[in-house]
Amino acid sequence: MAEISETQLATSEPLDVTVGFPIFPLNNSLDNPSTTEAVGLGDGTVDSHTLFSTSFSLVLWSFSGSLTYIQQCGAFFGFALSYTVEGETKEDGTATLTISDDDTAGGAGFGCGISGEFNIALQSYHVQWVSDGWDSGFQGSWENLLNFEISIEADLIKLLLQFLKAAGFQVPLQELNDTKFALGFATVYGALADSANQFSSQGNLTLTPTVYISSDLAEAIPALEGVSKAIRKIGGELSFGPALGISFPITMVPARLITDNTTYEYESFQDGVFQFKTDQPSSDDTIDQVTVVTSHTVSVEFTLRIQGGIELWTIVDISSGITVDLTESLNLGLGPYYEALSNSNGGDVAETMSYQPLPEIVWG
Amino acid sequence: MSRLEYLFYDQGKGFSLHNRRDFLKLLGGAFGAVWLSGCGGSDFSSPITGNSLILPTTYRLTPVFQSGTPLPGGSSVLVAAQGASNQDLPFPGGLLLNDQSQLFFHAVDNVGRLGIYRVDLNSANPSATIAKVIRNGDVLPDGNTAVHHSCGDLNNNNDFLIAIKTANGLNSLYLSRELGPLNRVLSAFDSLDSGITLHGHIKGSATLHDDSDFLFTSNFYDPTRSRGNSQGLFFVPKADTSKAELLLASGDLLPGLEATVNTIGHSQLHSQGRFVVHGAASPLSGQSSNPHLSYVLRGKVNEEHQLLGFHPDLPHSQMMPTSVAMGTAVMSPRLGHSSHSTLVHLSTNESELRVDGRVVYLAQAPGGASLSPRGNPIVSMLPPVFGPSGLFLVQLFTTQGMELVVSNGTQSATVMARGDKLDGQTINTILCGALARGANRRAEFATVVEFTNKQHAIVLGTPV
Repeated sequence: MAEISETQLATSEPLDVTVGFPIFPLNNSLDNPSTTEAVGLGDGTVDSHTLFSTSFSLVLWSFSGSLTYIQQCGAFFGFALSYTVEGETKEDGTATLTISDDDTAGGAGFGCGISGEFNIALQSYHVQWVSDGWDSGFQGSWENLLNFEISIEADLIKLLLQFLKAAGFQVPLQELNDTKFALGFATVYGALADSANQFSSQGNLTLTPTVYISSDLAEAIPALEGVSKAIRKIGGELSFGPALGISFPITMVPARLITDNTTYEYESFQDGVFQFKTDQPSSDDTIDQVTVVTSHTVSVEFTLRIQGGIELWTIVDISSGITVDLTESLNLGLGPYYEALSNSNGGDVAETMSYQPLPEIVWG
Repeated sequence: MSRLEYLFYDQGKGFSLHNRRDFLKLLGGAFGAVWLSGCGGSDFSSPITGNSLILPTTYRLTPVFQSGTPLPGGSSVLVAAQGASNQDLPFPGGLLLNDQSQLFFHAVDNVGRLGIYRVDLNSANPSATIAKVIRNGDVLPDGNTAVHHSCGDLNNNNDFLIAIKTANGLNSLYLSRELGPLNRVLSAFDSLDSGITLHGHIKGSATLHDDSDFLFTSNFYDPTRSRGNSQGLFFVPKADTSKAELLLASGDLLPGLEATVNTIGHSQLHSQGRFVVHGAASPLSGQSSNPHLSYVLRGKVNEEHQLLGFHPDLPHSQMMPTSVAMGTAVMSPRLGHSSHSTLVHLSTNESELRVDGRVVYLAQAPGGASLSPRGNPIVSMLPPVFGPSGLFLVQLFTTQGMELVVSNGTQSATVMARGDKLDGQTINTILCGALARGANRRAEFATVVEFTNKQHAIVLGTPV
């Protein structure tokens, strides 16, 4: 029988959202769990899309318009974890562990900027009677009602958040100024959540970053503001904006306890105590090193939809939406994935001097 | 009512020639009703006789009011300056007319503010009954300030539904009952009892029917769906938002097509939950280079939807009936008491109007394909406005200008056209059908007219 003294296990102290475990690690298994690392999935992807491109005659109007844009989106997925364990191993091959002071924080960081060309032209065919003796007759000519050809560049998420804040909504997205990758002119934001003290009460730890927002930003993008107002004068409406959907509950449970050279598999959770068992019990009465392997599963949704359209009264509606599914584009699985934290028996984790603090989360 | 004018359709010989019209108009003022009676005309408050729809052949056209008309609060309808370009139109085009002869109209006042006003056409002096419904800058009963508003929709109980963007940037739906104040019924980010959350953008085009049922389109999040970034068409029975029901959403499979809904465009609601809607679709397999592959559906609440039209690039699994239109449906479908219309572009310059699945007009620019009742090649057209039963008014654009035509699907007659004289002024432009409810069950209609002298008027057409 050996005692596991109060031992702190943590990805960092204090928690740092950019140092921890990736939510979707590569080459990961129970025997090859993740260890603490800088989380991130590289630079943002750059894509070019045409939201609409059309030309046709509408009554005596000739309409042509297109909106093409390049977007930069990127994401990191990760979480930081900290908890304290205490317990014992027995000669019959069982081990017990209590987990306290558990704290986790994590989520995704992403940004979305667009740059592109927007053009719209609306012409009216003007017919008038020209009185000229034998040559009298109707004559027609095209007159411009609208003719815009502009470039737009915008940080969509930033605009979206500014708009929502002005409308009195608090959205759980925070600007991450010091994350390790940049997205051109787009700011990186985090959809983050944190939770604490769940292990001892429910036997697992769950993070649920969730954000669903959308808005029409046509008038918030300076280059589009004038177009929008001009279209409204003739009974039209221009809409353009992102719809952002982020939801990925992450559930962590202990999977394995390793004391020096003995590996105990997780059996059950009862009355606040985690039970482990091994087929090869150790006769050692002291433990030098404590390692806990936890597993996590993820139910993930991470989509960004750019939608836009032009309406004219209830005569015409041209709209389109393009969904960017970052989950699919990054080829992410759902787990279970494994991660390990180690420390000397009874040890604390030394405080890190430089870290990325978890932004204050304000849930709307 | 200051003005009487008559246009004629000679059932025996076809439509009167342009150079005959002035002569006939002179006669019409004195003999129109008598002439109609002699030609077998009937009481057009009920233009249906059995299954045969009688076409109103004579309309009395009355300018209800013109630019310069005083508005409540001391302003007046903008007067367009001669020769000026790129200026606001006094009457931008939005008109709603119901069976109680309430006319809601959009107007720009002399200081450039766009508003919606209403007028009671039952009054002997309609101009004296003009009341403001909403104008940009108004403070609403809930304390919010209106920044701009949608077209709105009116039912036959004098209820009025409108989307208003308020100073806090949010779109909300407001409902006025029986000409009462506008009360907010739904806002962006509201949660519905079904667990669905409207997560942001509510489209301006909401449609209302007589029993206070309405349809609206919004982005939403539904925890029971696999993806949350959806745009949905919602049905709200009897304006009870606790019973809001999702009818159609992006990602839904379209009937008969190997494609799903991408976006939802305009919809129109009629009795018993019947509706039409159009929008853009996404093929199930692969990306299309064309981002706007349209669809047109009609449906009824709690019943399967039926495809009315689709873009030919959308893959489909079955033979389509000939009643289904194949083309680009950027123009809105419309719904009447018993009829529906689909207007699709077959190519850049060619479009067809179908009513109840049958092609009524084929338009082609620049030469024209079908002929208007006055024999002019049709270049293009607006979606029709349905009156009683299968009767509809449609604005045709021809090589000679434009004609407003009344039709029952087989017969048609020109009600007014560019170049016609009205109240001593020459019609230059007509705009009829900007909104779906521009005619009522008595086959009366309202339209915006611009004269060659730059005067603008709202004209009421009454079958005689």
